[in-house]
Amino acid sequence: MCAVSTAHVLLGLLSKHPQHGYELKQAHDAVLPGAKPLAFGQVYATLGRMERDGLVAPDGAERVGGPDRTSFRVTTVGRTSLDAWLDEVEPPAPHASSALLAKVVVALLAADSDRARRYLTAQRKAHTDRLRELTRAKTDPHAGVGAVIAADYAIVHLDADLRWLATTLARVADLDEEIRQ
Amino acid sequence: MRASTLVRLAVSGTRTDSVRLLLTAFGSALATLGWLCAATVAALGFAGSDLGSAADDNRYTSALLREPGLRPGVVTAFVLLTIPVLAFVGQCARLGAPARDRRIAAMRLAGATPRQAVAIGAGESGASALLGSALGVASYFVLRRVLDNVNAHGQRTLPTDVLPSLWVIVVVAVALPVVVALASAWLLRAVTTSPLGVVRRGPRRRPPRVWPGILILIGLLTFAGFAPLVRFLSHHRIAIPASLTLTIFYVGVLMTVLGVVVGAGWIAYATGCVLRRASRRAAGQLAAARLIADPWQGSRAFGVLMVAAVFGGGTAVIYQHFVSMTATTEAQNRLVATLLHQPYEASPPDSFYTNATLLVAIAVLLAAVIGALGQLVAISEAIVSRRRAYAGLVAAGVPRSVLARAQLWQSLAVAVPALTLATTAGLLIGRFVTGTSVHAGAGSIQTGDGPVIKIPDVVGAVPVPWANLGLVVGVSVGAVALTVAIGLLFLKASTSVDELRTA
Amino acid sequence: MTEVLLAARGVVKSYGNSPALRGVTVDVGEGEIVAVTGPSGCGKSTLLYCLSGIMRPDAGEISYRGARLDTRRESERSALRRGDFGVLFQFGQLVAELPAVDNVALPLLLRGTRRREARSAAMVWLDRLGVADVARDLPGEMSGGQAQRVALGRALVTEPHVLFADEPTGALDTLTGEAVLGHIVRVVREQGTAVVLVTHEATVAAHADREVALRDGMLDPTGLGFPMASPAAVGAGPAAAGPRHARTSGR
Repeated sequence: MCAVSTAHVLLGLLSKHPQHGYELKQAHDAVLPGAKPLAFGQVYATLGRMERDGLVAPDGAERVGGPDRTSFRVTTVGRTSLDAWLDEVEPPAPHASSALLAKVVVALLAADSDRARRYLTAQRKAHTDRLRELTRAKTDPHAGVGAVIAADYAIVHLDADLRWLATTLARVADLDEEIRQ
Repeated sequence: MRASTLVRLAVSGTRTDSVRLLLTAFGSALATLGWLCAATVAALGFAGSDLGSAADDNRYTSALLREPGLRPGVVTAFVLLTIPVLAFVGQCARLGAPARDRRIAAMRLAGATPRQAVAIGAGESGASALLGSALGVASYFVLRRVLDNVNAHGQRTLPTDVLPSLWVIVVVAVALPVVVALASAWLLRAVTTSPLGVVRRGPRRRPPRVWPGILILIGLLTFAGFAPLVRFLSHHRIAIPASLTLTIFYVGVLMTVLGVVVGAGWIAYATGCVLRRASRRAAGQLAAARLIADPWQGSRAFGVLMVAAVFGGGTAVIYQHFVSMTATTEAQNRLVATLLHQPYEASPPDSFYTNATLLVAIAVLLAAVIGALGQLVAISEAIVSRRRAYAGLVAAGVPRSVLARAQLWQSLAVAVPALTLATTAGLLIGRFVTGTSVHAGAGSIQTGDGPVIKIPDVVGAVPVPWANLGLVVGVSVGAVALTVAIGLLFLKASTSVDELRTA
Repeated sequence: MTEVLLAARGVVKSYGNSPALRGVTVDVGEGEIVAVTGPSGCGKSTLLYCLSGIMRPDAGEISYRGARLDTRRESERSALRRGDFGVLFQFGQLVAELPAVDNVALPLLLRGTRRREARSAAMVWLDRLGVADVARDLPGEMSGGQAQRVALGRALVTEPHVLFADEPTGALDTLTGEAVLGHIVRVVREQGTAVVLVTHEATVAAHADREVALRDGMLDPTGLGFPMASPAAVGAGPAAAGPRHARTSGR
């Protein structure tokens, strides 16, 4: 997973409530168990970078000890950055995109429902548009075998993404019901 | 749509459809023959009509044909007998109905209007009925020739020398196909409204009501209360015209019969509930579930047999009545001989009434046979049309014997109580009509120049003819068992694994 | 700007007590392929039945070329299926007792065409769809893919303006289904026929120009399963769309 996404995941987690670096690492691993567990060094390094960029700030009046003892919160700039990231659609790519996974997870857990819905709608539309393009390319009478096979590969995986998206939404809806009850 | 298209679409069919056409034609031929026979006897004329005279017609050996007063009864009997035949034809029309409905639905989907669909379906049945009635008319004429015999006195056994008027023959020949075509048009109305064939309808949850039982009771009460009512009214010197009596009689019979037939559904449902609770084996449970889910399925074909059982019960009682009457009369004759101090001469009993009743019994038996045939058609259809489900069950490991036993349970568990009830209803009707005792009648004899001797009334009790009633029930239940056994012959073929093929 | 061929406004339909459609509004333009998608039970097939005149809606309007469709008599609506509309289902639509060529010729025969003409027209279509070799076979004697192509031939033999297809490849394996879909798309593009294609698969819907998503009997503009509460017209009909071949969606 690229560093950009890690920062955004941490931002998303922080947007709920301020946390220590240690808590952040636990939360990240819990929310994305499939990914490689985040190293503490990476957490602090990312936090440092984000603080430098003004996306997060120490929570509380002053710094107490080092970064491992400081609780961070997200700033207004950080929130804007997070929103902007959620406004972007992940390009529908043929290979398993963990960027997609991260974004959907953050959207469902950290964003409010309107924003989440907007993002998910746009993402789904991007996927179906790409599906249509690929299908058109595939059914072109001049398409070579290689092109058809490649298009099939992409189509099948995009279809899988869409199915997963639908299932996830239903699952989250169920969870919401449970929590409400 | 062109006529040639209509014909082509109407006769497009599978083997089942061919069987249906043949059976419909056969049934129609029989019905036409029956009506023509009735018309022939009617052509002899009734007493008081301008065709006949009140005098006996000595051209025939059988009293039924000679005496003009008896002819209406014969005509009625023939007409009544064609009713079970028509019920049989109706039963045959349901053969292969699912496949036919699907075919018509597919045509509707392709753009056939409801009217076109009805034309195709009704045309098919009407055509086979037309063929049948033509066959019936042809066989009528053939039989006239073949059965014509004149004995030494110039008498015939059958009225083969009489021909009903031409227009009667034409009407009979045409009426049947028209009736059959109209009936199938009505049956097809559900399919004509939806090109999707089976409409998503919820399963029928309401169990059949008990009101038919009330019908039966009312019918029976009519008979029970009628005799006392007559006595009451005659005390007060109010005369009741015979036609009213007859009408009430017919109405009572009709209500009882209707109640019995319609009540068969409730009996099936109740039997299903009882079976579900009482049975511990798979076969019984299967039968119970089927009866509860669709109580009408088996009982429709059953109706004819039940009506036959009602009439059978009544006939047995009436027969017993005449036998007792003969015995009582004989006893009175003995008494008279004793009173007159004369030796008793046994005179040959007048067997007219008992013979007539026996003829009625034969007619009832015939109706029962036709009903059994209809039942056979129904059971075979039920087994064959469910073959995919049965094949699946057998493939999943259900032994065929369980399926066979379930079918037996399903039919017999309903047949025994229903037929007993029907026979009992017939018994009760008979009892109410004939009474529990016979009177030979009081009177007096003027001996030559001697005193007038009073002859007391001899009363004989009429026992309930248990043996004959048992016979009625036994024969009808046996008929059901036989039809199930024959129908089960189809089970082996229906459950072969081939039926599971989908591709 | 393409003409609106088929228009539905606020269509409501229930089966007994269970509602299938709760106010759906949709347009189908001339020559466009519209995919109607959604999970099972969302009412897509019901919408197709109402649009094609097979069923009458409980409320709402359906118009074909500007004239009301749902108020017409059963016989008129049936007549539409012999001319302007063609219907293609997942299975069960061929008459099992007629050979393929007669099945394809059936709509023509039903409207009075002479047998020879009808049959030769049918053969042309069987040829075009690559199933001329099974012309004399019964539907039960051919493979699923062949049967669907025969059914497609029957749907198109009257050169309809709209083809209604309900999960046409649902019972077929992937490659066979693709082949059938390919035939459908090719022929309707050649004829300029509009298509209403009901499917629950995204890969099938991808063959269409535009998607209309349903959920619980209502329009679902997000496609995610959040149905709209009000039956307002959704997104774009063909009027708002760009030129046909460059169109990727109704934006």
